[in-house]
Amino acid sequence: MGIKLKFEPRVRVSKSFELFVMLSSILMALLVFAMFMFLSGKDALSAYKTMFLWAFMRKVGLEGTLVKFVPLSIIGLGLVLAFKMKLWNIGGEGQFYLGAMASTLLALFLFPNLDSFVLIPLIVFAGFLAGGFWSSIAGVLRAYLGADEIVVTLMLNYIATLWSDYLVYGSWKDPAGFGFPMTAIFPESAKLPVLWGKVHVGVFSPIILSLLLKILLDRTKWGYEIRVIGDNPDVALCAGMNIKKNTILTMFLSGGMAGLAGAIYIMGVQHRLQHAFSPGYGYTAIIVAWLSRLNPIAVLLVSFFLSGIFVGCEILQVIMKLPISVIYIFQGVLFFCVLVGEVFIRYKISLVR
Amino acid sequence: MRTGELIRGGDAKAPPQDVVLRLKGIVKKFSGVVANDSVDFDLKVGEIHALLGENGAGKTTLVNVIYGLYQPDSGEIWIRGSKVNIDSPARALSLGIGMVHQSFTLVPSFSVVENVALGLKGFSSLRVVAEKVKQISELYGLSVDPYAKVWQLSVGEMQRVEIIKLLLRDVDILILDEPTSVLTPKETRALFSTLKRLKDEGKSVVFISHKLNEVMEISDRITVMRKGLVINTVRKEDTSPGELAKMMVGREISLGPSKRRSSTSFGEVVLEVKDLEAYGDKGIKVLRGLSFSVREGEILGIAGVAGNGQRELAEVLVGLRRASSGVVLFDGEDITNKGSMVFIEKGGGFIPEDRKRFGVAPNLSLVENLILKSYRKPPFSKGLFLDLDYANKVADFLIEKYSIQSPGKDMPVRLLSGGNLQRLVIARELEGKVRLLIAFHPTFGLDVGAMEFVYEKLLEAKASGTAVLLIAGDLDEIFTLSDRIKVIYEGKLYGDFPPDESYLETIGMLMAGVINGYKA
Repeated sequence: MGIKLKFEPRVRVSKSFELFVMLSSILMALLVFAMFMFLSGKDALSAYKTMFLWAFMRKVGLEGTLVKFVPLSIIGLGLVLAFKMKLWNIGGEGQFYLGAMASTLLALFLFPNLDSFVLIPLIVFAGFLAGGFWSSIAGVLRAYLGADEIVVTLMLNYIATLWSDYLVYGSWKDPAGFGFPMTAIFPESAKLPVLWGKVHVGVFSPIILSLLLKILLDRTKWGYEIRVIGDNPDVALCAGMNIKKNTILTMFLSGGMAGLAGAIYIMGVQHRLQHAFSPGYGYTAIIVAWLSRLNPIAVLLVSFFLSGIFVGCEILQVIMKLPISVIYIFQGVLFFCVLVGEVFIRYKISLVR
Repeated sequence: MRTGELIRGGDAKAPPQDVVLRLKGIVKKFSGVVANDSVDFDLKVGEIHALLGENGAGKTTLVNVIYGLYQPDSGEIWIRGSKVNIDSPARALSLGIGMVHQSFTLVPSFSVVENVALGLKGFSSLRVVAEKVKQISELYGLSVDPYAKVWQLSVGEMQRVEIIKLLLRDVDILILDEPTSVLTPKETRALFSTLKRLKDEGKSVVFISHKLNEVMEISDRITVMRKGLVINTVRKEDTSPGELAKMMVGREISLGPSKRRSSTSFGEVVLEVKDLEAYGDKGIKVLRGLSFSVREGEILGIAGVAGNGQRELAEVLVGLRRASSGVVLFDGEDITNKGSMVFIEKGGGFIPEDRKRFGVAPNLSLVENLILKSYRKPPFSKGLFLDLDYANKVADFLIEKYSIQSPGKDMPVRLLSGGNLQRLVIARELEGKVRLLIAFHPTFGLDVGAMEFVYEKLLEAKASGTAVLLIAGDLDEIFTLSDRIKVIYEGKLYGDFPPDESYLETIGMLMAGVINGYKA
């Protein structure tokens, strides 16, 4: 005889309860992470204090946070769109790479002499198309062959990153780059105007895109179709909705956003394509989409917060001499806690004897 | 050996020997909504005890408490003289309680025998289980192919698998949540004889239903519930259908088929089907040359035992399934294999059998579910955008007109009861100019009040000139509503009868496959 956990599905869940659970999950993650730091002999409280101050209060740290915020939130928004239709696009990373590669192609090889007024919009559009093309492969395979988009998008990530490596180690390598795996620096016309420190004008794009996505999902016929198909494809068929077409279009737009993020990131921050230029934004964006509970506005807050945490972790590496894997540990712990929180949101859990 | 797990009630009085299950003061609330309010219930050894009540009366909640799916907020459960705490279906099963759910608990991608084996302990091979399934099927007339995949089965066949699963277990308290709602009269007969045999063996049955004649036929005692409360428990001999109906709905209602056909003059042909053939999910031809037509203001009833091609017929007509040959004409236009969009645009409405699967998007709001067929065009949308103000106004109007009870029009429809879901589906499918309505088991799982409502709406549609194709298993329903009746058997249509009771026997024979020279 023992005490058992009893899971009962919740009939109704209030928004405030969802928020409460989400915040608790994050708090829990911070507590567990504190344990890790304690085990490595570090003072967790002062570490958190350092992290917070650096990421959000100091100029250099805040710049870093905002720089990470832009790609993370844009890819996250794209994933929210696909997830709404229950299309599990986990290929944000590959689509992000494709966007960056297309940008490089335009900036360095096709139109290096164009004026920035023409070139920047052109690159943004090309990045969008390239990311969209990449995810559409999974969309088409899903629509016409029923291939699992999780597997396809994941595989496409590897292809994209290796393709990018092939270019930066090969034909696109900067002749004046001392053999480093990277392209030459972009012409000035392909760099986004800087606002402040490292922060570029692209920092406004997540806000605009988030509003657009919110309107798309809540107000338009297409967004309505996406939500109906995501909730019950059978009834969508009965209502005459075209699921194949919507699968491809939604995947295209979802990957397009990630590609757009790639274009903005490379024009705003890197100014060149190089080996492993993304610290896994496409994967972290999955956590962003999940933590924001598929709410486009929440994506902004969540990605800003997470960016801050990552900047904070980077600082910890320097100040407290922690290895780089702390970031991955923290991500893992956070995602785990969010998933546990999800269980609390779906079920009422009680102890019974 | 399990006594250690039982919690002995110190001061509480144990029920008498002949009471195998006793519920005392069961209270269950969901977010403040009382689903069961101080429910007392006794089940005697070797009795069939009916739980009668409308949808949302709290019957399903109560049996879910017994089966360990829900924990009561307060109250006691006694099994065979011991107070118990049933914290899971596994615990319920170990106490000898088995349940057939209203919505099925089968793994669609598994075969029948794999599904049955899932619940069994200690079997040597699937072949042995298949053998057992066959035995049970033959013994109780629950015919089903043991190696068919569950997703290919009709709702009626799935129900049979559930019942077989239960019968293969050594339980002595059986809970059946509306087991007959998908069965044909013949299958119901077979089930009832099964139940009687089980009863003779000393097993006890809780039988949930809202069909009065069934309850009057099969049960020994009847407990009537309404709005979470037990209204009364009566012995069958001491009551009458009229009295039960009154307890159930709290008002007098008319019983039995009433002829309410307003006109017998019909307009032009709306739906014409010629030599229609189509394949089912198993790759077998299930529609084998159907021809019929439905005129304006006419209700054509198609009677038949579940699984004779009704589902496929409805799906082909509304554009969800491809016809392999034949023609479907809608107002003279060929819509064969043109898809559901064309069907909707020509003014077609569809009341599906499985309204949860084909009728609603459960997590979307009432408003969003109500505009499902009309969102494409003004005034519901302008250009790329939905007109939510207009949709809200229409929703208010429809919720009022069709008396849809809900926690609010912005709440997800999964919170609605079965009857209210069907009101919502009917509101959506009948509103606007409907030329043709395909009603497929439109009263499946509905209580008397909601059934009356559906009948009323179908007759209203007919009166306004809509052509109605009614596909149903319930002969009462077919006779009550139809202007003409055809019988579907193994993918072919037989006969063309007026709704005259004198044809009842012939129709019943045709449904059972006794063709006797009738031509398809």
